[in-house]
Amino acid sequence: MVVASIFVQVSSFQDYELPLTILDCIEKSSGNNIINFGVFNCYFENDKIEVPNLYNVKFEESVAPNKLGVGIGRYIANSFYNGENYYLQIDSHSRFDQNWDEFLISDYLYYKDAGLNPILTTYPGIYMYEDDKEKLLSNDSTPYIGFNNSKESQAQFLKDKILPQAAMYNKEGNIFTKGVSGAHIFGPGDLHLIEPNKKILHWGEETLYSVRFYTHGYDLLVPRKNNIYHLYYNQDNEEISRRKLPGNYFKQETESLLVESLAELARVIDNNVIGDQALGSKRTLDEYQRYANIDFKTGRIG
Amino acid sequence: MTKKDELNRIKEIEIQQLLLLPEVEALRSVVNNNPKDAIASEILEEKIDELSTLRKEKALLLLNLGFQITGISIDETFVDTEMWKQIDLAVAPLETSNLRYSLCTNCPEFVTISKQCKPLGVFAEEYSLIESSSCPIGKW
Repeated sequence: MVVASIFVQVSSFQDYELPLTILDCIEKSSGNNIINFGVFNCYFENDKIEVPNLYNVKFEESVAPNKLGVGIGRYIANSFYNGENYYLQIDSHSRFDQNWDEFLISDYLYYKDAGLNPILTTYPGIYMYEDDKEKLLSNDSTPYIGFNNSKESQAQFLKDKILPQAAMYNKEGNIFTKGVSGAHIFGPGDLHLIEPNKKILHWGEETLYSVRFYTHGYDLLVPRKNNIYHLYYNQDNEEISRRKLPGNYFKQETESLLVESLAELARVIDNNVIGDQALGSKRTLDEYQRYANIDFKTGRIG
Repeated sequence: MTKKDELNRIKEIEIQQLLLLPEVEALRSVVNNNPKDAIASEILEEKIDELSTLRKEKALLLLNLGFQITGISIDETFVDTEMWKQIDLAVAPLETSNLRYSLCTNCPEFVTISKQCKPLGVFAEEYSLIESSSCPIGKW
């Protein structure tokens, strides 16, 4: 068996699940491949989250509100890439099926053999806590990501350029996805070259990734089976969400970063910027718009 | 066929699709693990054709009922009823759609594993059914 290596990129903000995510990722891997991590950990000064002290986990840390935002966090985590064959981006609150690495590599090669240039992405399944016990919900469906085309969604899209992503039930054997889920991106090691945009706070990350990956020549594809789970945030109960949201603790900084973040998205899209932290040159923005059946200028979806 | 019959037929098709998809995936695994298994390959091809036939029938029914093509396939999940009226939903004559689809299947942008058009991400056969659609690389 040929040993492959996977680089796992994780950015975390005061997330008590971060260490468990890393340990579960290692424990559930097949053992046939090398799994290395690049982690960014932003934590509260009086409540430090400890990153597991392991030889294959490289990390950088900051005390909040220094280096707020998923963009800068992922950018730093990405910098730990060290020649691995494959690249996986996840959230810091994730769980895995047994042998997830073998499934993802096999799916990648399946699409590659079919003449595609794959990036595998989907909304992960759900895990949650009930009475302090971890529970994984059944993960039979693997949705593709489409866009809601209600009038309200199109009006919002026209205003902020963020594509209103939605999980679409894949009942017809479709392999393509129009959008990207930041919680599950798997592709070749070369993905590290598409550095995460440092100015993105959170909103807009997935829209920017979708256009960037597509214009860099990648095909956005759905894995054949969902092997990753995600702890979705419960707005009513921070306790069971096991993490903090920056906006609830650093309101002023977050609001200012949000403005900067939307301006960055608009800058790249409106000016069709090709280059670092922006679009690729293998396909055009127009080609993405045709593929996704959308129009950034008019706000049309579908 | 009344609208009610058409909706019932769509539901039947969806159930058939749901039953077929895991079979197709299982067969794909068998063929992937053993590409020389001619019997499994043949059954897989048959099942993929069966899926394709079901998709086509469902697409026609949905078009007749006034649903639009959204991103990837004809999908009723996020249809905005006001938008249906603005879209030309005419179905192309059979000869036209057949010719279009035969051009698709010989195109380098045709993804054989799912019978989709790569630049558009749509199912080529469904897409070719719509009168107003056009090939993204100008073949039809």
